[in-house]
Amino acid sequence: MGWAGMTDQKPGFIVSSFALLVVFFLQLPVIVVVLASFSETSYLTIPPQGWTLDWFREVLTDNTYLNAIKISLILAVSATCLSLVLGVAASYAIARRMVPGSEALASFLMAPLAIPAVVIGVAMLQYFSLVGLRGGFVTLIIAHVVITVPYIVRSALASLSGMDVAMEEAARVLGADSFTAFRLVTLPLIKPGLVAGALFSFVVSMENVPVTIFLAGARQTTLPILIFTSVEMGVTPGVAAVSTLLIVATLVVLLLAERWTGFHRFV
Amino acid sequence: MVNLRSGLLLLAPLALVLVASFAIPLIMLVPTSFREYSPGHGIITDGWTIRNYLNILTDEYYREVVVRTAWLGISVTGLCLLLGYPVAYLIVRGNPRWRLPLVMLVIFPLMLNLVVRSFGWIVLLSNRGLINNLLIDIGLIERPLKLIFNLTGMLIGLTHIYLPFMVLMLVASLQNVPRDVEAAAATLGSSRFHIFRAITLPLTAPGIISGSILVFVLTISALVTPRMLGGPVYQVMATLIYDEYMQLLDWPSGAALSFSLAFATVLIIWLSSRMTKRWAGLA
Amino acid sequence: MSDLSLQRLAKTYDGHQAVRDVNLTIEEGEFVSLLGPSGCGKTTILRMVAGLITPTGGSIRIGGRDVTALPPNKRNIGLVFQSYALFPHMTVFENVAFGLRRKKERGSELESRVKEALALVRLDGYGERYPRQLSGGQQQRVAMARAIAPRPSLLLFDEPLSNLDAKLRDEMQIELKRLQRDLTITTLFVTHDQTEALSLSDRVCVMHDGIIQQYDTPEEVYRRPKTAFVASFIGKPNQLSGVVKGQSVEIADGVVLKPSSLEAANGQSVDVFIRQEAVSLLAQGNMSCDAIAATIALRSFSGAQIQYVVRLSNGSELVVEAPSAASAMNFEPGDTVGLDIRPDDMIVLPREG
Repeated sequence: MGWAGMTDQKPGFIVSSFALLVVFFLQLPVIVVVLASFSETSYLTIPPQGWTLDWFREVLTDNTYLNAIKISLILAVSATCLSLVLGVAASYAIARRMVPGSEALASFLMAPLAIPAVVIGVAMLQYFSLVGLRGGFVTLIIAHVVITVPYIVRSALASLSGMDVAMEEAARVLGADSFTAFRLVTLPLIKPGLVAGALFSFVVSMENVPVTIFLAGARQTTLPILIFTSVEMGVTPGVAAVSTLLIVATLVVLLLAERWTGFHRFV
Repeated sequence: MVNLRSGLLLLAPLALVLVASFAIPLIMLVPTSFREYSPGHGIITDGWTIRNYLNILTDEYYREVVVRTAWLGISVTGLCLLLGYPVAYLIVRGNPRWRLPLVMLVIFPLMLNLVVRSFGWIVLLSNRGLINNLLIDIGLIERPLKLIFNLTGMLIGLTHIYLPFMVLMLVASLQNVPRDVEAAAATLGSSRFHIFRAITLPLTAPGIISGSILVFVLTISALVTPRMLGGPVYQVMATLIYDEYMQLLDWPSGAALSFSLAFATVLIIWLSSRMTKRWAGLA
Repeated sequence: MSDLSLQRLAKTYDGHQAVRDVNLTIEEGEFVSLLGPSGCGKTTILRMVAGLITPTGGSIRIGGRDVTALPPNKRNIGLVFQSYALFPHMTVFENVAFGLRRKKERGSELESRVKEALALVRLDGYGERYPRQLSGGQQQRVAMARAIAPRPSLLLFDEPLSNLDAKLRDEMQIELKRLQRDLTITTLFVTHDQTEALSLSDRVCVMHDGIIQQYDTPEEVYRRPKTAFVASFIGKPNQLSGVVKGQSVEIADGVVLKPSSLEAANGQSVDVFIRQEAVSLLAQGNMSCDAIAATIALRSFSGAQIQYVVRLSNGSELVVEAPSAASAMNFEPGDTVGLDIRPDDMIVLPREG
């Protein structure tokens, strides 16, 4: 029993086992959903009774699902791209102190994070109905920009203040105008942080229900809304199949992003 | 000054979008909440009333919802702390080789669609769901336990959804605990448990607090999970707002509820940031 | 290559005057140091010349052209940063080529210019490496190559050697001197290290509190400081207070100094500055009649030098630095010695404040 052992404060067997159980608990619904999507019966047992790919076939040929996937993707990509452009520009102005009141401004841009999503949803419902824009796709995109841009701003602000400003100054003195300095020096350096922010933003948009459900017209049902309303009407394995597809897609994206930028350091 | 002009140009587009699509809509909730609603006739546009707000406090049904929401918030936060701390501890202080896989396993559910996760719990907790089937099969119980469409279901589901947030905040906080302080305590004769209780735990207090605030605020604002796992009977504030707007069409009441909920969350966040600022000053 | 002229240059931040009414001219090809303690305004001036800070008053002229309103990318200057500020995501070659590309240089002309710059700082062949693969000194040299490659008319240095350890700093100082002499670019060098400033510069501009204290050759600044600040900042001076009596200064009862130049009136209170290395110690038997009697209070051996603290009859103490190789100046605490100071080395300035 030396000093090294005593001051190590490593987690003991009980704590480690408990922690691993909790981590397993975290994966539980995911595992269950995947299993259910292959099950022949519409309820799940262990071991599952029968394997089938029927549900996948059903989902991939069902226009309702395909449409929902398409709409969700277009919405998420548009909102993320728009958030990136608007968010990075605003973050730059704040991080480089080009305008007074940086702290207050940053808080304002990230304010949507502090307001419950359902409240944002109903507020937008009322407002856009009033100006006659409810049900438009552009309205949806703007709404999604509002809820995703805080993540971009947070990442961008962190990345921008983390880099040595002298590099931008060096580029300027060497003959680059402000935009060129940004493009050639700043942007490459903040890219990993931006990727992390964009990823969050994409995910938030893809899974959003509280804001989207108040604004989406009948022809704009997104995937999460479809699943949400389907479940209200009764559980079918079709829902499980769609969910499994989403899980696989998320896994792929996560692994790719980690491989590409090692972004787990920025989460 | 050139800087100011270009700065405003960079800031303006986003600021405009947020003001027009976020700030103004929110502000407009307020007058609506003071209007009266008449079923079948719509919103009465002359005359103001504070009845909507009073209802929240006086009406038994509303009060029950508010209390239930707050209770859920506290319980979920407590559970997340209890379950999350060991996980964070394992990640930070355990075998470094496990660190990346563990972090990925904690983050992965976060990336998953919220609806999908809640759906997973339905599959698990239903009367003919996995858990009940398992328990019946091995003979532990005879009739299915009611694990869903009640508070238990909501509790389990919400804890699961927000646990990763708590873990991540605790990890950040644990990482900042200086190891020398613990080593110093050990040389002064503290047992391992005592070191944890007297040193590690208090030093992670900021992380515990910020994680708890985050989980609490998220829980009381939650819509999807309580709706899917609580069913139409067990309402929380968010689901009630949803119903008032979409089904009952009682926008004024919904607005009053919304504004109250938003006010509560902003107040909590603001108070806690004031507290942490003061704490940081003392530290 | 151009001269630099600062006229009535000023910068005020929120009521605090960082730079006040600075007038300075640097001739073509001259190497001038801005020397002073932190907060004296030297970095602010440098950044105003570079165009990174906007002055609140005055003008800046490079080669006769008023650049005060021009952005940094239009001033044709080179700037070497304290943190080097190399672009980490670009190779050494691309770093050095950056300024040239902005001037629309391409192809073989670009390549030869980059190679030329790298050769000048003796980093040939390092083009394909990344900054993180280089040592501190090498990064410093890349920063210099990058600044000079576009052949600027003015070269600015912002405390470039502060981040290097002592030995590397000495090497780089020689490197810098050689480079500047080869290129004959007008250079403005900001530093708080006086040895650096004195050894590198054609002229030194000593600054304090936002204004210029003295602008002279290194020798003048060292031997004939014009203000009490300069006298106390340059070298390692002892400071004694006294009263003027005719052509001498009385610093204590019976202790009188006879400086070679005295521009103060009889009876005026003055400060006398005597450099540590300007005092010779005479053994008891060797004392001349002008020598001042003192006792050794402390002895400290530091390699090439021995430091003595000597105490005068009135209790005031002086620090004396003697080369350890001079065996004639080897004493022990308690010994009585005579202080022999050349009149030229006694700097007398009116007492301030």
